[in-house]
Amino acid sequence: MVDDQFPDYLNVYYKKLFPYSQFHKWLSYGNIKPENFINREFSFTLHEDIYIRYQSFNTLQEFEKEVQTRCPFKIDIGAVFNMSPKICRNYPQFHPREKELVIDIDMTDYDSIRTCCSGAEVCQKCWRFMVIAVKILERALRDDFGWQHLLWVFSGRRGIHCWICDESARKLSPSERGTVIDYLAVLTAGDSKRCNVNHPLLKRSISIIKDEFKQLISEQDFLGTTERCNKVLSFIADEKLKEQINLQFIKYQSSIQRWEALTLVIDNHFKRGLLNFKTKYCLEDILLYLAYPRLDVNVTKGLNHLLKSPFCVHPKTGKVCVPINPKIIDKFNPNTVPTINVLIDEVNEYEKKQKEIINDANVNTNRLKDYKKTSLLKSVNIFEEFLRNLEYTWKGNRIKNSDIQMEF
Amino acid sequence: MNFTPSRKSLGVSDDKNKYDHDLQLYREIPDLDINLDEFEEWAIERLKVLQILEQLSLKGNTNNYEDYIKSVLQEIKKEGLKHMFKLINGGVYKDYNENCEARKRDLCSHFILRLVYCKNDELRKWYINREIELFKLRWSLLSKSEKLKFLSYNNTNYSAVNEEEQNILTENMRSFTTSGSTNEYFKVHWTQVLDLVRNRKVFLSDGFAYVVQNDVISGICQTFRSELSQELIKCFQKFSVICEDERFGAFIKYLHQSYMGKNYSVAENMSTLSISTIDHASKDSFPLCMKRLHVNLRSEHHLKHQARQQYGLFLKGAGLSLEEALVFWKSEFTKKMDADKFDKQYSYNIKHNYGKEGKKTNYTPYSCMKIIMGAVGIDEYHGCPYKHTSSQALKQLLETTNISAQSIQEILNLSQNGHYQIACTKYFEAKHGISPRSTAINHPNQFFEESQKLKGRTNEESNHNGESFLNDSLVNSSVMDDLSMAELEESMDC
Repeated sequence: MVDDQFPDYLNVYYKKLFPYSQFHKWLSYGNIKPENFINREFSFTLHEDIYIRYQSFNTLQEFEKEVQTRCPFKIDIGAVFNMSPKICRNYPQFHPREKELVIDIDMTDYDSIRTCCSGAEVCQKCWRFMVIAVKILERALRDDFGWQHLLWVFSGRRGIHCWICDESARKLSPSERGTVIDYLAVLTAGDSKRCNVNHPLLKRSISIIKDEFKQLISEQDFLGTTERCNKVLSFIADEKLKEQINLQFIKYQSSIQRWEALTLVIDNHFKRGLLNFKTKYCLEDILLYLAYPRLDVNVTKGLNHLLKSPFCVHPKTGKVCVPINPKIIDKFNPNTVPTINVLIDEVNEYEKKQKEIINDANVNTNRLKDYKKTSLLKSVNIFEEFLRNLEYTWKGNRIKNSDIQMEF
Repeated sequence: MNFTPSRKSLGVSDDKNKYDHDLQLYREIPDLDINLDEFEEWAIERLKVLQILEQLSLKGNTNNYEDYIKSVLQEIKKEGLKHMFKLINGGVYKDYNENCEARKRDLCSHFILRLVYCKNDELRKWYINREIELFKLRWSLLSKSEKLKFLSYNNTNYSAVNEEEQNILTENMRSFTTSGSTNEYFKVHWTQVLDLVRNRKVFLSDGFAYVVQNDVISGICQTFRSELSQELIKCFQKFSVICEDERFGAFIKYLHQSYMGKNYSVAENMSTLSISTIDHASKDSFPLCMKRLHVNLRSEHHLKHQARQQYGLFLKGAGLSLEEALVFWKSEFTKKMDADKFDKQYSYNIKHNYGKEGKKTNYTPYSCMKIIMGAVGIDEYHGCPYKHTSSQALKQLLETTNISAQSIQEILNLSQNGHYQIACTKYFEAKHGISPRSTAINHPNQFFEESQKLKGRTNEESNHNGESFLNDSLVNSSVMDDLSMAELEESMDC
């Protein structure tokens, strides 16, 4: 990404490509309660890290205009407050009321286990951690908590955000949010704290992990070095068993072979009834440690916590924070996400072509939205599908509301 | 119960709604007339039930809950508390009105005791814990349909689990729960049981938590506890106004002091401790907390303020007169300071404890609860040794008491598991070869009196005859060893 050009590109992006109307449709939630949008906090990060909080907008047009003039490097979405953030932020009664329940998974939290990249980098190999995380969380959020409107968004560099937009989720108190994330965050301090692996959540998660694990272990080479082997062995709380497995590790070289040998030894022990309460679930413990989602708990807990908006452009990578379809998360490649440069080239290219066509035949094509001319189209479609599902709920609410009014 | 003078007309007709379940969370203050005899009688009845619960749980047989319930019911029946017995036992009322009557008593007595037990933190804690015990016990005796009824009446949003759900549950929970498949489940929205969700103690499906019966009650108890705690504090804020009422002011002010029958603010005839008998008694009849203070006083010739309070009031309860107390403390303290300083700094406090100075309250000796709850700093010797000392130090302490190594180990185990009063009771047994008459030790003075009763006449006689002789020898020589005391006793017997 060429830094000098970024503000100019961003200018074009906000003028031509940002899907304002869908965005507004999302955050107004059917406009049953207008305050959903007008009391929503937005905060902008401007050029040179100038940070302005408590922005709020009465209309879509106001929002659009402000974004286009300010041209923020980053837009964060905050909570819906009890009054307008822009006007009332200093009132003593001013407080956050509701917000989507958000979950943040960041690849840097996997640095202690991923072996392919570190820090800000991300590749197809370590993306598999994200795939596993999304699959596990999708099931937990939908099946366990019964939520339906999950918006998964690529965070622009190396992570994923999940916005849970069901009304019941938006209204959760901080302690309820804390409960959800504590329930989900199986791996806590110390990396290896034991948990009840027989809980349905964990049983299901372990089976999801098992489906991906063959590939994950060969990509990550979890048992490739003595050091890594020892890390895995540390989960086996029985010296004899540990030694047996270690002998196998010496015998075999590749991670896959070693893993197979390890499971074989443990299986054998299990069949012969040799596993005690300490070692009974060591295989599950290892699987969880190596692949269970690592969650940023604090982001979820705070009602007033800001999170980067979808369709922002990451200033360092130029990648757009695009919505992801969780059903085909396997196919998502963080390195082929549309970048701002490509998008703008695509728009220019399209317009150049159109000009030629227009010159030929005098057709008015300006009606076509600009994003439709680019590879952003796919992402906007995912967003729109999410919105369509969401729309059913507020249509239902409207009918309910009008029924109530009819009674009087 | 409306304690203000304005009298609303009595709504007997809506009794039905107020008393529609044997068990309740006491969320509404009853608005009805009861006469003063009832007021007192009902409160005392409930208090007796709560005392039975305390005694039996202190005895430590809560491990087997069913046995515990049995013995509680037995005891309640034995004490003739028939209303509560029937109410707890559930569904034995044939007569609807009689049932209503029992529920009314339950409701009113709960609120009366709120008044009695709202005065300080210690009393509030005691009351809340007993009420929770009672609540749990009563819950466990309800039928499933009664439980569901209770849950719906109290807006807890629990519902029963249908057959299809039950099948899914058994499938999912088979390896998850430790107990068998006979578990009863209740269904509730997950936001009602946050702790259970957070710790993954429940199965979640579609926003509902499927809660095992035992966990249901723990959730409700949590609610009941916090509500009751808040209500007691509110009650306390109005207490000064309420106890102005001459009809029952004194009753609610002092009823709690009869919790254990006695508060030992005035020594009974039979426990007449005097300077001459202290050393001997401290070895045989003092609970460990007091024995330790005594030993420390004798060796250090000083005790810090809290320790003086705890020990001084105990001695008073044990029958040490003010005059003797002054002599006793002075004889020790003046080994390290001059008499003038003692008179100036310490004698006031001793007189104060006997109600002779300041606001002239006759202070009551500390109960076990108060001692256990108290704060003990480093280098302080008061408090409950089973709670406030390291097990190493406790062991050493016990080794000075001539009890068997086996008993010492048992006591150490009990204290480590937080059963301080049971540990103390065990100590009593080890020391006397027999359990105390009351099931558990609740008060240091109770320990002393029971011990003295067992010692019986020997002590009494020695008190009478040897007093003047011992007085002299004690003031002069501070420590009497076992041998000389035993010899003395022998000579008395002859």
